[in-house]
Amino acid sequence: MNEETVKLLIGPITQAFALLGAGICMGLGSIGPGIGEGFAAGKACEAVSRRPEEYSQIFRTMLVGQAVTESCAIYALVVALILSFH
Amino acid sequence: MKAGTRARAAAPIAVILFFHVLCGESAWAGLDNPPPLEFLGIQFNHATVIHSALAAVAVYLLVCLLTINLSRERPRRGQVVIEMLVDMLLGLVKQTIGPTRGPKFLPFIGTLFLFVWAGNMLSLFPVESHHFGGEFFHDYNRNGLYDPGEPFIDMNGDGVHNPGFQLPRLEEPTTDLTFPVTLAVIFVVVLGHGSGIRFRGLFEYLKEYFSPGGIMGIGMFPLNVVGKLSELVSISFRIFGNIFGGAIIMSVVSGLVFSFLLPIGMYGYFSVFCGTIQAFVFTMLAATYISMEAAEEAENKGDADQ
Amino acid sequence: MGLANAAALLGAGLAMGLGALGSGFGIGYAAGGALRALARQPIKQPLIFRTMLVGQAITETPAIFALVVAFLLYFASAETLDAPWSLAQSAAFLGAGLCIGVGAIGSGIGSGLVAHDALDAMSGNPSSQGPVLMFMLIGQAWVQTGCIFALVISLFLLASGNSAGLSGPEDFRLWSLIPLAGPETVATARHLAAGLAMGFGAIGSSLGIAYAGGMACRSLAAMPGSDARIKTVYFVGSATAQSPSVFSLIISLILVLNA
Repeated sequence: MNEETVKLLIGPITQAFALLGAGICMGLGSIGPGIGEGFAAGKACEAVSRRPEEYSQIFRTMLVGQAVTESCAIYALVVALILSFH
Repeated sequence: MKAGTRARAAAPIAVILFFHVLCGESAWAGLDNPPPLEFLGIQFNHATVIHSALAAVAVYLLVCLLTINLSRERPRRGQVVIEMLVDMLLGLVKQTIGPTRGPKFLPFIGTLFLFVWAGNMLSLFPVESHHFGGEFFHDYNRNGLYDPGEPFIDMNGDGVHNPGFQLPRLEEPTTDLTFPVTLAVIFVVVLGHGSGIRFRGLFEYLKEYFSPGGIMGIGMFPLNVVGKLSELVSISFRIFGNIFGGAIIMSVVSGLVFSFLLPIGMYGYFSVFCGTIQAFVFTMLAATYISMEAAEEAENKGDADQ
Repeated sequence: MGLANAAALLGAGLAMGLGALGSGFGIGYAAGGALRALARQPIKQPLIFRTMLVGQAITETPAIFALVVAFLLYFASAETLDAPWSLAQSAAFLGAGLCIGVGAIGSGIGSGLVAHDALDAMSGNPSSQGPVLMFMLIGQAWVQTGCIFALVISLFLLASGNSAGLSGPEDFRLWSLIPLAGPETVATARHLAAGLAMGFGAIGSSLGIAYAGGMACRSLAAMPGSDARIKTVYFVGSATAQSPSVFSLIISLILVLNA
């Protein structure tokens, strides 16, 4: 078989596996960041109730921490987008 | 002309227009079966344009009606409601953006909340949405058959025209993704990043994209850009997914169950409750994203929450 | 009997079985919270009982969504009794069932967590019952968002499956299961991947938001004065914790709508 035939035969299979990979990547990749960001938000609520006068400090720290946690989900999103337009 | 007089003049016109549309007499306005709307090669969705305009008019009329005869000694009920709303939004803006810069953003944030909220409440009105250019399940003469001139819709894939059962309800403009994306671009990019450049200068603003600094910062640049873009994506897709999901669930379940008690509860939950909460979250997140760019210095922030 | 018929029945079973898992856990957990609260404050029995019932009613919502999809899949299986063998259609039905089934786990458990924490907080400080009840309702409604996203993707997959079953071989051949080079393979993968992405993507965010909601109720009861600040932190924090599931929704929509 020449290269063209192999590409024609294998192409859809490769694409199918890439799409499956995209789905599993995004699905599993968003479990951890979701729980982590929620944990940060819950702890921030607790901290505000303990020391209400440090509110703005806590709020800002929570936002920065959540942004860093969310970068994991963004990696998964980027990889899934690349795979789904493979 | 005073605001009160204007509202009194506008209210009967609005009522007459509403009943005309309710009775299906809207062909005179050219809203039934409208021609395709194209400008500079971009296609516009009639339903979204008309429904968001409707929401804007509704907000204008509502605020006009609530602010008739303002008085300091004996406030009327509408005045109390609007004062509570303004107080809440002022507190929100002061808390997130700052006590001196915050009130400057109050008109934008308040308009955003009222506009999105009114848009989400549109689904409570039992007007068939194709009178306003809605595109789902067109069946103009309501005979359930495919007639020439109607769009061909095949709900169950058997090759026969089957528009399905459609509840007579206005569509929320939020069920079209272009609406929240446009609002997100206006509020996050133009207001947020624009005021970031204005308050901190272009150099300081751009320095944030290389956030750890040094050689690490150059490597982190694309990730920071994606992180900024994801703000835009998450704020707009959140409200779109919630409202669109609620609309789909309501139409599917109401089509399955031909009763009237269950849909009432579902409208109460998905339309009123979720619509209000999502509008508030959208507003709050817009204020937070603005504050991340335009917040005042850290020493002022300690007493910012009063 | 066709492949799509079997897949629809399997999907219906998976949807209801997995969908009942989370809600069952959550309802029991809420009842446990009510028992703890009763042991602490026996005199508040009517209030605690009422709150428990309201919380359990909302915790049941994911299971009801799963029931709706299971019924729709059952109806679809009756319609595909004599349908041609189509891998893409079968994958769409299986994906729809998996999506709502797995997606309902997180929301079910999460709503129960919120109700449990709210009841616990209420018994610790009975004077804060009004705001805590409101926070509980808002938190539980918010936890449902992941499940609503999953339901939307399931319904899309159902519609896609209903319109995909027009092509394919008339009866069973061994090679109809392994269509090597063709658009059918790609569509199959798209349907399965969309279901998996949204189903698993809804779990994490729902659990995280539930933890935040429970903590917000507890801190409200511990410090009733700082209402507005806790509300701001809770709303913005949970809205950010929602974004992973929003990303999953985007990927699933891309996968479904290109099929």
